[in-house]
Amino acid sequence: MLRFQDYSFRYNNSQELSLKHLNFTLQKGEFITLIGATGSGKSTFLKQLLPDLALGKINSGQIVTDLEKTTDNFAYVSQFVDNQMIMETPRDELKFILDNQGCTPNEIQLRITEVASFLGIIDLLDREVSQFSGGQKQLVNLASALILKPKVLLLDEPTAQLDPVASEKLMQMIHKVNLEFGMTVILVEHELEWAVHFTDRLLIMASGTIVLDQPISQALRKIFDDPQYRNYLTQIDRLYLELGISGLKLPLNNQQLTEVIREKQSELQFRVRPQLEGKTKPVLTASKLNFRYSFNGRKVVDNVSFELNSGRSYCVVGPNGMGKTTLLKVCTQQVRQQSGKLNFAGHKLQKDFYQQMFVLPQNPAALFMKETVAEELVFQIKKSHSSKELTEILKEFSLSGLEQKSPYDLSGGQQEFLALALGFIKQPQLLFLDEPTKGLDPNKRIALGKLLQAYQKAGGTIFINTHDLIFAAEYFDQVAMMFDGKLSDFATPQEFFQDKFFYTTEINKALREIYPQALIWKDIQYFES
Amino acid sequence: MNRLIVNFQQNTSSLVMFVYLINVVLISLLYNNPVLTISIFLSLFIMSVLTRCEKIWSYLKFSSLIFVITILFNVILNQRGSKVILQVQFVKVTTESLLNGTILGISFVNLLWSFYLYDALVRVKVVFELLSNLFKSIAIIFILTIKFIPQIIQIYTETKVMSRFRNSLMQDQFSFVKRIRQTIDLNEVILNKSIASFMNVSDTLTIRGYDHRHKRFGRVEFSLFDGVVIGLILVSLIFNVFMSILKFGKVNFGSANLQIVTDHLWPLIIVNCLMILLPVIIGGVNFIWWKCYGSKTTVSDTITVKNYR
Repeated sequence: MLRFQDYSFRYNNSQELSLKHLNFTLQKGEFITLIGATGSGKSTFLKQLLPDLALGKINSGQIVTDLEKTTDNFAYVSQFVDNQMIMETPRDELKFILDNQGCTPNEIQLRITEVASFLGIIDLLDREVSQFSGGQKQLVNLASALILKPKVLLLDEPTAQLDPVASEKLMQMIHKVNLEFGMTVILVEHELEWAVHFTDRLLIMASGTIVLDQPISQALRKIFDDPQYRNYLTQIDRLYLELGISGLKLPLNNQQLTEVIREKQSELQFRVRPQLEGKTKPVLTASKLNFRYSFNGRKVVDNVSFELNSGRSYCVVGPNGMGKTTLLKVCTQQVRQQSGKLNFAGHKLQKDFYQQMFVLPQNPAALFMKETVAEELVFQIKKSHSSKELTEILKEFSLSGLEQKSPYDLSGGQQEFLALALGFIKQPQLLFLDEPTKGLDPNKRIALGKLLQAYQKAGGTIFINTHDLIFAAEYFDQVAMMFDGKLSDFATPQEFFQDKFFYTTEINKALREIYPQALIWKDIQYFES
Repeated sequence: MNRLIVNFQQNTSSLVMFVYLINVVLISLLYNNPVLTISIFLSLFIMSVLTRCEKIWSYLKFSSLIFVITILFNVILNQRGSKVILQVQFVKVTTESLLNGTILGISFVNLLWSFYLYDALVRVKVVFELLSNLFKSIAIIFILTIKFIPQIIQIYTETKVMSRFRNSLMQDQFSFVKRIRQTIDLNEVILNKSIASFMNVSDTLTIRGYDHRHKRFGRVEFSLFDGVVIGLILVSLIFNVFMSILKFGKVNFGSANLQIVTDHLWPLIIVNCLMILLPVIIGGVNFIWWKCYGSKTTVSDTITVKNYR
């Protein structure tokens, strides 16, 4: 249905080619997943099918297709959940799209009915979008894309801002569209966790070229052999391949893994993680914190108490909209609690509190204040009276070569690392991070985890919010869950996840009867001979 | 939002709601007789409390401040009148100038509250389509403004808060000039940050097919109920324009000989207050109709219906 032939593309404001000599064929009804490092050209690739979204020049080749490259044939859903809606309610948004197409009133009525019933959003149609959760907003965005009955659905990291439950639901909906209508889907993702079972073909993009294009089963085996992409594998497939077992077709589901591990149980052992011993001094103590946004509004932070000890790492997990970010804002005094106490190093908060901590917000760009990456870092070195060298920092945070780029032109992952570099230059006692893995590819996520571990080893204390359960299970000493403004008790990842039924890692779901404390693929190993 | 207003909102088309709001703004603009403007203010305030209660206190503070500032400015600028209440150096406060200030203050406050109502009840789609029917580019600017003003405020607040975490010195250790310099720099940073969001919304308009819009005005469904409401509003519009031309409900604002007439004012007060409170009244009539007649005669006698009744 569509073919990229030796296709190269360059943005108007760039000297470099963003896509280099691409060759790619798309068949009708396929579900294609495209992965790759941040800044590898995945989004640019998608936008070639809606040229109004990518202003630039085609340097070589062409796209051969009978389909006109308009919104009638290609529907696009982006990762920016909030900026994708123009009107106040889903019904107005859907009507607006159909009015733009010149549909008759009868057609508008029928199409809205169809798409709303199919996606199960009838109850949301007349509610204000501002009251929706991230998952609901993305479902409305999907409805806006589907209402035009497109031939191809282009999805640009649609789950990037969603919690695991909402991500899974959205992917199931996309699968349903693909299966029932034979609609072709091209999905750009940072991870395969939610899409792997629905994907027909896997593509990998690196530096503007497609480096792998194979059916999913073969592609998964192939990427296991490539250290650069091995981390993209789902935890289930990774464990299966790491143990060197063969005979089953990838991707595996949880049930298949359970059976395989049960058969091999006598040869396998659970890796006991070293526990941090002894109690350290409390850095931050929160006592009965309460916060709500309006007079009669629900308590977003509801009687929350906890203690953060020096040199330890703490992670709060939980669905979207349950108060995680607000709790972090209260702890860092971006908003003041309506009642409750916060003590820093055993004392009431003093004016120098902000100088002892650093916050990496959900949108790292909120921290940037200068024109280039180098200026940002030099500004921070000067402000913090640090003895660190610019080149040393650039290397440590994988920012070499980006010195003269605007911080706003960096990819999501690069922005995250630049923001983290600013924090580490400051050398705070306490580091707060809000959804730091959002938009990071698995390799960058591991690099981030290692940087945080090094900071912790040097005596720093970490507090993060995340949806990423694997990240929480692998890199943190204590985990708690936030729901409806209440925070559960902090516990070690093993203790915390072992009795969870839905809100836990896939490895834990699959192996809870055999190894109840196993959370990630690294937790299961062969006995050492 | 009060359930009577919700009922009105659900039973009328968004265009009728828009016309109602325009009528409310016009009522706030046309008259300056203090007896009439105070009654208009009370009606507007009742409607605002019932419509958007959660922001009422902050808006009340804001409008009170505007009221006081308007009076002060008027008292300083308008020195007319013979009955002196107070004289401080060259500034003479007279009964007339104070009354003039109060009249202007109430009118201003009424206008602010009518826009509070407008903001709470208007549907973006209607305004956008009305504008796109006239000038396409103005419609785009309108929608970008609607989306951007809250975003720019958010970016400003976020950036200001975040800058605290980057400094090793406390804010109050900086000199006054340095702090002003920082604020100027901050504005530049905010503009840089806003551009990215601006691009995203512009992309969304492209994705939604606005570039190739076929229709200039989206479909608006009209029911008999809409017809009745719009008829009432039109009668009120004509009545108000007519009364305004005849100088009813107006005082000779700014003059040294300010006369407040209360004769023949009652019809104006009653009509305008009723028109401002129209959603509550119509919602109330609907509610009574449903409780006493509709639910009993038009639906079956099931337990669910009984509960609703």
